[in-house]
Amino acid sequence: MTEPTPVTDAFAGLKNRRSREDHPVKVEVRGLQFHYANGHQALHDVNLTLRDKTVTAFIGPSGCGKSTLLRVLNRMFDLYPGQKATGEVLLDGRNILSPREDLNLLRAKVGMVFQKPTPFPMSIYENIAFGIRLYERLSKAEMADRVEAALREAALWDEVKDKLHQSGLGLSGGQQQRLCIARAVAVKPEVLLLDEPASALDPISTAKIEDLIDKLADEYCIAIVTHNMQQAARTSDYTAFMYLGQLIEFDRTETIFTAPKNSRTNDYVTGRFG
Amino acid sequence: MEPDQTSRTNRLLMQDRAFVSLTWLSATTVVLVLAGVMLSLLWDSIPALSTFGPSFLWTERWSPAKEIFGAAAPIFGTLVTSIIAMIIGVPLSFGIAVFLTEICPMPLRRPIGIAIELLAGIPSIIYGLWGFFVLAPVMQHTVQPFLIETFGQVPGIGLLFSGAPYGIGMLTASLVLAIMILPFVTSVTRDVFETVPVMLRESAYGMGMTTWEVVRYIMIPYTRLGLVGGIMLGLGRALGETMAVTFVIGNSHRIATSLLAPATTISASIANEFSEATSGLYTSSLIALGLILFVISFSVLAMAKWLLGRVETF
Repeated sequence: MTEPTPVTDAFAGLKNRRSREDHPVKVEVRGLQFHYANGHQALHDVNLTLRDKTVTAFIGPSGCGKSTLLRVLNRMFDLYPGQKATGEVLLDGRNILSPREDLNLLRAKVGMVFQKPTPFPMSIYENIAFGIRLYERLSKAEMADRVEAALREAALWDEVKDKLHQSGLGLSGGQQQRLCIARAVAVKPEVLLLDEPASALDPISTAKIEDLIDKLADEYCIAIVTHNMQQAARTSDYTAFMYLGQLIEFDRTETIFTAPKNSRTNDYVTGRFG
Repeated sequence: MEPDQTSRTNRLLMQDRAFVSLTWLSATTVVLVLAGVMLSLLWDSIPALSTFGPSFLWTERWSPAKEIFGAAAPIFGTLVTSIIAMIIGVPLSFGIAVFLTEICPMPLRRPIGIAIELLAGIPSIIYGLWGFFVLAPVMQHTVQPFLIETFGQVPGIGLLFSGAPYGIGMLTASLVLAIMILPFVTSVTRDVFETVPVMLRESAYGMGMTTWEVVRYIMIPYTRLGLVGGIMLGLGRALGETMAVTFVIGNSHRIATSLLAPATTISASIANEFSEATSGLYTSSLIALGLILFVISFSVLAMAKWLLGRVETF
């Protein structure tokens, strides 16, 4: 067994990185176990915290449970009968795994963006307005302002302002993904879950999404699942390395990438397996 | 190459050619049969069409004794029963499909799905028997008197529910048809709902939408072409259904405003009367009815196929 070697390459991709101070804890995961309907246990006693206005990356080989963990945070797994999460997930101190939790309100607070862009079958404007209308009654003018604000927040406004009433499906993949991000932030969530948000995009669109994540981190608690180590290093403040359903190491991103304590983490971030 | 290998290759080649020609033959037969049916329908309806001209389509009178035949009543009956069957059957089918794809607990999904598909396996004569001996008496003694006393008293729509409760009639036929199209519309609807990408559904639920909102604003708009295709498929079946309708429609060549009144449909008229058709003109008029039905159902099914075909290319 060799001594873990520092991985400066992955970390060298960082640019204009502000060191964000420690914000208060937004989400606390305690003793989380997750079982699929077939009995397979996908998460084993996971404990970690997500801080507000901070980006936390989940990395690890396929099937390590990182997406599963993300899908617990907005109870998406509830769509599939038989899937079961036990333990505690505290959002601002309240356990969202409680059966009394109102899932619709929870999902308004915890937005999610998926691997592939999923614009709704309606116009660009409606894609944003629809979500807002689920929770708020706004006048036409207020709604137009909110839609514009959301599109600006997702750095999409200038590209779509002349075709707001065309179908969202006519946009490029990268634009569609930013539309989905705009849709998610339009309802003013507190937490944003990004499940490999750039995995289906070209490098330029990926760079735009990463810039966007950096900007959004000023406002939201962000959790991002990624297969791309550079992306994790570039975008996140904290990184969780998962393997076979266990949280192996969770620390500041620079620590994970330059001086990991666990040899498996080191092997993974240096590209020796995974 | 060794001689015996050459002969083996030749033999295989011959076999393959014979096989290819056979499949060609089978495929061409289908087209020929279709063309043959169309041509013979056209040919045999010439006497009726040339005697009555286009007014065949809008003449209500159907008098075998006087040899005056008009297709208006059967066309009316066919369209009205089918449309009412759709009005009743389609929302039910959508409801079942939504239940099966979104709400139903996993272990119940297959049994319920199979039960609905088995409805399609019941021979139509059994639907007819059931309609005549079970449904019609219930309609006559309970449902129709109720409709006459309530909706029948309302000015305007009262016309739809006027007259005596015969039990049999357009409404009863529509109900039987509605049940018969249920499995077809349900299974197409369920299939097209399942073409909605998992991620799109999840992102809709992820926005905090309720099941109703996901179905209404995401799934139905996303699958609208396929849904219309499924409805058309059901309509095609309802238009052509013969046996079950013949039992419960009442077989009367009259156009009545009341849904409770006996009427007839194209296929019911043909089934009832072909054995009595003695004269050439009578027979030809029945065949002309068949031609009209063929054109109507052919267009509806062609439309359905075209719409469903566009779903797969998403």
